[in-house]
Amino acid sequence: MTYPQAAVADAIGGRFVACQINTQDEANAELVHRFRQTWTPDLRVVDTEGVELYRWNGYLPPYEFLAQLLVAEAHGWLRLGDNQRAASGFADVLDLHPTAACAPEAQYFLGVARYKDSHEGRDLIGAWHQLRGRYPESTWRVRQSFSEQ
Amino acid sequence: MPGISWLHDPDEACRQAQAEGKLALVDFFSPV
Repeated sequence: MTYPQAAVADAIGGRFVACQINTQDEANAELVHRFRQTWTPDLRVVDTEGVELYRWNGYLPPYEFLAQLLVAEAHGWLRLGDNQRAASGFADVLDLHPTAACAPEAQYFLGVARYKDSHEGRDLIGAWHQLRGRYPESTWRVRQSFSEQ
Repeated sequence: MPGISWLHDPDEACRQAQAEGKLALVDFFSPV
C-alpha cells in the first residue's frame, strides 16, 4: 500500500489539496463521466477551474509514487506558466529520486522549464545533454534526439 | 486513511487549492 506511508501522505497533504472519488459509487457516476474516467488508479492534477494539467494511471510503490507526484506537480506549474517553480520541482525529482522511472521525464522538462524561464538555448540543451548521459535508454532521450544530430 | 485529508468534491478541492496556492490532486479509485 502506498498512501499509508508517512512520506507519501506528507507529500500529498503538503503539496496538494487532495480529493478522492470512488468510481464504483453510483453517486459519482456524473463525475466519472465528466472526467472521462475509465481505469483506476487514475490520478489527475487539475487547476482551479478543474482543467487537467497532468495525469497518470496505475499503481506505484512509494518511491515511484513520490517521484511521480513531484513530476505531476512540476508539470502543473509549468502549464500554468510558473516556470521557476516548475524547474525547481523537476530538479527536486532528480535530486531526491534519480533512479525513479519518471526521472528521465523530469530531466527532459527541467530543460524545458529553464528555457521557458530564461529564453536561453543553453538551458534547454544543457539539460538535454545531461539527459543523454544519465538516461541514455530513455524514451525521453529519443524525444530530444533531433538535437544530437 | 491517516495523514491525508481527502475531500470528495473536485470543485471544492479546486476552490480550496486556489485559496491555499496549491494544485488539486484528484484520485479516482476502485475499492479492492
